[in-house]
Amino acid sequence: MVSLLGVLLVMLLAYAGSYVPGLLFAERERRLFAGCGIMEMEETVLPWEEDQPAGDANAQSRLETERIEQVIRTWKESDREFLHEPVEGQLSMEEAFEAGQEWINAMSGAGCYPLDYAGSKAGSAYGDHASAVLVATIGSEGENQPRESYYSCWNVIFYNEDTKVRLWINAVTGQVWEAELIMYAQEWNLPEDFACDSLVKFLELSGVENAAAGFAENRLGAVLYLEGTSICGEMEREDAEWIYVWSEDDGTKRERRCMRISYRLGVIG
Amino acid sequence: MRLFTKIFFCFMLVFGAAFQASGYLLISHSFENDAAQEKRYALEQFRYCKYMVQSSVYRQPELLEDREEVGRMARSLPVNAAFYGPEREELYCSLDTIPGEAVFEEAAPGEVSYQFAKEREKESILMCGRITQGQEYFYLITETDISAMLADQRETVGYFKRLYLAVTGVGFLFILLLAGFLTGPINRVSAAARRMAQGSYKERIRTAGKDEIGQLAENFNRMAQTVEEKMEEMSAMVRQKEDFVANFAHEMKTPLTSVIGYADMLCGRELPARQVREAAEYIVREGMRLEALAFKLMDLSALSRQDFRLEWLEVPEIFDHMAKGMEPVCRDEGIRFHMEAQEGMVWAEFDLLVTLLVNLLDNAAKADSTEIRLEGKREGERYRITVRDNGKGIAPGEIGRVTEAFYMGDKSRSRKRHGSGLGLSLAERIAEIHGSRLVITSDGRSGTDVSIWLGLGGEGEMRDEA
Repeated sequence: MVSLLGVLLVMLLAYAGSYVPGLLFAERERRLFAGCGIMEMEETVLPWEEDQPAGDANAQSRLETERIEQVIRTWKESDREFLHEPVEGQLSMEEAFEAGQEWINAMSGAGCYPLDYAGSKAGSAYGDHASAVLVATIGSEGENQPRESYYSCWNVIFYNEDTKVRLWINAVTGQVWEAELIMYAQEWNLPEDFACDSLVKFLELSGVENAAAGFAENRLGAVLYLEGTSICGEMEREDAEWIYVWSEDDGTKRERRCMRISYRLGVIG
Repeated sequence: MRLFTKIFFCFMLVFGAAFQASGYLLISHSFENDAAQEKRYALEQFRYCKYMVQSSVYRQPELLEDREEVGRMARSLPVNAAFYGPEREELYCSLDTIPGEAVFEEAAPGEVSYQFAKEREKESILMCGRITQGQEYFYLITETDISAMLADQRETVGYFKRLYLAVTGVGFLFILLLAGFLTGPINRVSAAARRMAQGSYKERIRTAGKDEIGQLAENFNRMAQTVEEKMEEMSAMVRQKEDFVANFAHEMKTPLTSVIGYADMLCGRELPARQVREAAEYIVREGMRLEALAFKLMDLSALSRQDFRLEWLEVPEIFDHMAKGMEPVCRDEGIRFHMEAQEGMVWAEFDLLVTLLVNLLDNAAKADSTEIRLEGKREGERYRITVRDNGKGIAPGEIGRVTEAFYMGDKSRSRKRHGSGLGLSLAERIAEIHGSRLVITSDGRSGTDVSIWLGLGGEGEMRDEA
């Protein structure tokens, strides 16, 4: 009889015990929603330590070609990135916008801005709207390892109805190392040597000073090789096959073709 | 509480507590990780929204003065957002949950504060930070939905509960079997002990395994074996004692009956002198037999109580002592007494050895012998003393019993010679004290040989004696 009571008591205790985790977690939830706090801003981006004035558009910090190559390789290999606030030595948002505008002006001034060759321009070179976010790539060491400040870049977008210009601007040097231009126009009249000339200008503006060593072009894009470095300039061109048609308020119809051109620094090998 | 119940109880408690604790820790760890992950994700979203707002304000500095523009901008954000002025006045709000005052107070310049909020069925994290515009600032609050994460957590807890009940149910059966398996051998030992207590001394437990239970069973078997042997020994002793008492009573009763009868006759009537003399002679004879019996009993009793000190004794000296006592008796009885002894020292107690030899020689004389020989001979490392007679002998079938107390092969002859049946019993006991025993050989017709072997001393003992 005692044994049977003992067994029943054990079964009762076991059943009652099944409610314990639920009660504990309910209490835990209650405490979770009762408080607030400060986010621990674990910035893992190290401040810039060069002698040149940091973040100054007139005396920008410069990186050696080898370091540029290292950063490009990391950007290519990493598939994760995180947003962060600018640290000492990095451009502010305003400076990033200015750097982007300057790049567009410089490309346009050199005759290498595609929108200048559109059949009819609709909208400004910069676009009516703009946005910018500062991102850093997460390396193979993991997201908690400190990153040098030159691994960060401003992702600046200028856009309007006809244009979307997306620029990846190095956060320390202010140079554009990647650009994507999506434009709509009735027609495009790009000059014959546009690919080579625009690539040369792009590389010049990116801070890589090595001389050109070779050039290759096909229907889809072009590559410009440089002497003494694995860095190269890549250009992709995509003409959309569709013709976009829409009606204006006055009843007229407009037709435009889309063109996408992207520039970027690549690494051979 | 039975051991079975204790084991079952303890196992179930430990198992249940361990399962609960490990499950709680596991889920708790997962909960912490998920909460931290959600906070990081919410911070990421806040930062993105903050950049979008800052970008818009950079392009349109007067944006915040136009509520429509603020709403348009907020709707373009990937999450619900709210804008509050420096005095915490609401500029725009599309949040599903209401932010508490504390989240504003925590958001100092450069910091981002958070709050877990719950409104109706929606749980979310509110992130609050300041956005500076020239000399002014405003608050941006974003709302990241974490309902799915918490729903997963609750589902996990519910699943764990069901798992716990299922595993406990299965474990219940296993632990029942386990408790039975552990207590089964103990129950068998207990049952065997109970049967042994009821008199079954041959109980043994089949042992298997070398664990503590196996050792317990082995020790139980050893104990049972010892108990059985002791019980048999005690039973034999009790039987011997009973026989002894019965024989003693009989030996006492027989002469006393005659003595009382004759004494009663003397007291009761006038008898002729011849009859009076006969009666008196009988009474004296029986009295002497009872006296001899009493002396023998005293000797037997003394043998069982004393520690005897043995020493080295010269055999010829012992034999000479015996001869002095026996020769007159033998001469009176018409018995030829021969004695022959080799030189030697034996390990013995003098009085006991003499008593032994006296009893053997006395028996030989009572056996109607015409010749008695007392011989001493060295045999290897022992010394053999033999009493040999040519009397009636002992039937071979009775040789094994002649050393029993009160046993007499021919009762009438023994009693006639004042025999009590204790002489050989006494001699056997003395032989045991000397580490030896009596060896009796007889064909039942032509006499009897009784031998005893004693420790033989070397040259050293003989030199010491000299």
